[in-house]
Amino acid sequence: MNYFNRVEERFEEAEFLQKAASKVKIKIENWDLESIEHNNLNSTSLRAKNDNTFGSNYTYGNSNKIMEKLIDGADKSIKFGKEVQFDFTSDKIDKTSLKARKAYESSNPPVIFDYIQKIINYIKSKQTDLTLDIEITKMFNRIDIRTSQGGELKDEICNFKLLIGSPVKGGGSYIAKNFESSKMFTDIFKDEIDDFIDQYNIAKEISIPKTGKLPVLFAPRSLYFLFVSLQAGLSGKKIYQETSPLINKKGEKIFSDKINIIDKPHMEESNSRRFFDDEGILTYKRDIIKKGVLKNYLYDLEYANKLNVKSTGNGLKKELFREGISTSVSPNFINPVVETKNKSKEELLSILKDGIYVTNVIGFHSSNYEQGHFSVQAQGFNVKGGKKVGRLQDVMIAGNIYEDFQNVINIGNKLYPNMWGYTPYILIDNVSVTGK
Amino acid sequence: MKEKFIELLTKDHLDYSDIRFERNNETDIRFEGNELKEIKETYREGGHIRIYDKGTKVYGSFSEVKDAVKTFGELKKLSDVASDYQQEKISLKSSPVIKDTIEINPKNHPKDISLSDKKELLKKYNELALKQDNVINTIFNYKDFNSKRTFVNSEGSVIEYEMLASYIHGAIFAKKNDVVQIKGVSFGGFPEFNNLLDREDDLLEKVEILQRMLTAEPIKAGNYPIIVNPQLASVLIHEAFGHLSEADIIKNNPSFIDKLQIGKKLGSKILNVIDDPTIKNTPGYYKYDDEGQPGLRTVLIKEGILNGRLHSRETADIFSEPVTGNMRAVDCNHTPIIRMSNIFIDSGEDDLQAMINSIDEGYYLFNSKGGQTTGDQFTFGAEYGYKIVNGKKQEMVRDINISGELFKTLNNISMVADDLTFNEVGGCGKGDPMQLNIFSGKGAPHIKIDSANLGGR
Repeated sequence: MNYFNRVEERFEEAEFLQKAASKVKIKIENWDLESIEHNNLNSTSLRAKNDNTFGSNYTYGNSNKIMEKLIDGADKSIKFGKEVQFDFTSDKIDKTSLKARKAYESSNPPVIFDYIQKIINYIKSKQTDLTLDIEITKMFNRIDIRTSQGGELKDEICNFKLLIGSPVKGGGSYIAKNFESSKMFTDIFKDEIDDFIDQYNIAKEISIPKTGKLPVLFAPRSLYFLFVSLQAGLSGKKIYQETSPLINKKGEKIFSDKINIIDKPHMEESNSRRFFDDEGILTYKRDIIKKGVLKNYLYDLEYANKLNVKSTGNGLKKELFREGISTSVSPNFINPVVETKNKSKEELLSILKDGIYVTNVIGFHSSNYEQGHFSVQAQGFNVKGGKKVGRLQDVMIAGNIYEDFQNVINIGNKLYPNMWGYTPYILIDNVSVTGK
Repeated sequence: MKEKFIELLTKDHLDYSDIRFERNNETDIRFEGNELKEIKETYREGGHIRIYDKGTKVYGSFSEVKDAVKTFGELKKLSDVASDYQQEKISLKSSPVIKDTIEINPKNHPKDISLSDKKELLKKYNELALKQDNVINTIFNYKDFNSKRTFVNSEGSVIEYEMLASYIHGAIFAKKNDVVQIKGVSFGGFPEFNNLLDREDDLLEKVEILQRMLTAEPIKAGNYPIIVNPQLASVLIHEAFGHLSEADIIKNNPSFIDKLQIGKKLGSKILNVIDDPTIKNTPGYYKYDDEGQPGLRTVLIKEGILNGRLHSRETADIFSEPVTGNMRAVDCNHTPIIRMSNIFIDSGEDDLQAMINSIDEGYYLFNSKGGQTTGDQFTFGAEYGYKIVNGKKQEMVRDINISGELFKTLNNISMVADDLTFNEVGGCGKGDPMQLNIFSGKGAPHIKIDSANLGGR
């Protein structure tokens, strides 16, 4: 933060965001060590205003030369920039603690390798013919924000990610389980690994349903497409630009009354946990969908100002396939969570009876997803009499989340992480399936 | 700096190590609707180190030259730990020592154009799109990227090289009677900036198609014979086959190693697929990759038979095949991975009209909306298309997704036209974290696929 004084001299208003990120990622492919990645990267984003004209810049490193170029670049950006009315944050918070740093430092590579070996030993004792992949990533992020409005926010976050996967025999799709934690894993998730092995064995056969309207059980890992589409609809930016299908729908029922979605930014185990967003606005737990009714939109500072509301602390440097210091701030979910109900996955499969069980979808971004449309290849299993009978191949599902998620039959009783938040299993009726 | 890097890489006598240091200049301008959303010129530098020692592979990135020594030390320690856990030792195919300097000197370099002029150019296209009927929003991006790279390895190679591109990429949103449709726009300067000028007619042609998409019917899901235009066919070959020709994707997947043995028949005699980084003025043109290897033309499929694949030094050693020079990293935060340079289906002998005439009921599909693969399964979207009935092109259709299985689809390619066309702008996403590589080109002629699984809305 030594350069903040220099920034304040140069600009009437400024926001200085610095991230120091450390990461170790250990990759096992086909039972053997593939690689270790280790990064220590410092990055800075500067957003500034002179005469209400806005500019921005970013860089990596923190030498004098780099910082001078960062400041000069922001100055040039202002010269050609746009007028904005929003003010940078004046919030203050310090969430740094030894806990996160300790969690990162105590899980040194031998500890991680020992844990990986436990997983390998357990899987080996059950099944040896699969091609086992394991990835463990540990990350430590120190975030500092200072603004000329007096904003001063600090946090230290430690995350662990685990992926256990295997390509199905004979090619085709990939079976995977993923887990998240704020401390190093100790449990080897035997139930989930047993399910993973069960899926692997059933996937050896191909079974294709007939084309038609079928009930579909969506596994949590597949449900990121729901969050991606919904986020586009809830985004203050899309509402301002009049491309959201959810304009003026606040208070209206957009999903089945069985659906509750909450943005939970402080969820301890989530890799998306944030006490403040990338603009230094404090985050808080909020109902997004309650009993199927739209309760709240997502705003960052800029679009909240344009729409004359307050930022909801959802401004992140994140886009669909890109995130990080070089990305502009836009409204995003922090950590969306679909609330659980009371059915186990086995009970949901039994209720499903004849239909398909979708473990992942591919190609969602080639549909008009901002309008809620999906037309994706479904990976997973054909289900007959409540039993998985073989893996799907060349099967597509298509529809619109605002129509299909009206038809929720039931919801699972356990939360799992997907790439965009947490969901339980969700069983939907009457989804359009193209198969045989 | 080079001397310091060489000293760092050679002092510990590791089996192999390299450093890639980059100085990157980038311009980003973005309009969303009438609003200038972003305008900035950014400079950043940083490096990436790879160590192959005692049969292990470790790598990592650093932000500044001064951090190289510390990062190298940390990676070396990790390599020592890793060696206790490595079963099959990793090694690299031998390679000649190369010392070379490559500069890109286009007639019209984006660095010679002022930020103001770049902004005005983008604004002109954006305003032109916005004033057309039914257009409710636009996203127009201008980007130029000039990366000056220094590659040094412990074997003595020292290569200084450059990457340069400028392009305009946009999406136009139109709405009529609650139907919203989106049309992509891309103009590429690889490397000539002037390719981005005077493109108003191209833009208006795309808006005209978008207007017709608003009243087109959604496609009816099912299995049909299809004709795909060169842009869409290039994405199909890139997504469905190209990624499986990257040896790092299949090297630890026994099923695919078995399915993709060199000499295996993958398609009919009319199918030829090539990856070629030596074609000038294309997105995937380069002399050396980010592993210090010369980029080579590789015939991947020859008359329907698998003939070659794309390699790093590591995978070439595993497969006992030639190094092809396809290791690329989008920037210094990332390790190089095997990427296609310019992949294309070579021209055939058929003509488009004969293809249309050959279909009783099917579709003629245009332009990709992006795609994704898992193993040999692929899904990608088409912007729009036309129904074909009894050999005649009929009304426009929209909301089209194609999914399928690679090997079946390649075998179903029954006609290849004589109109090979390369896309102006490159693009490919691969890796975790995702590396979006603009220096990956693709091309194809029109092709006919006898049966494809189409998903509608």
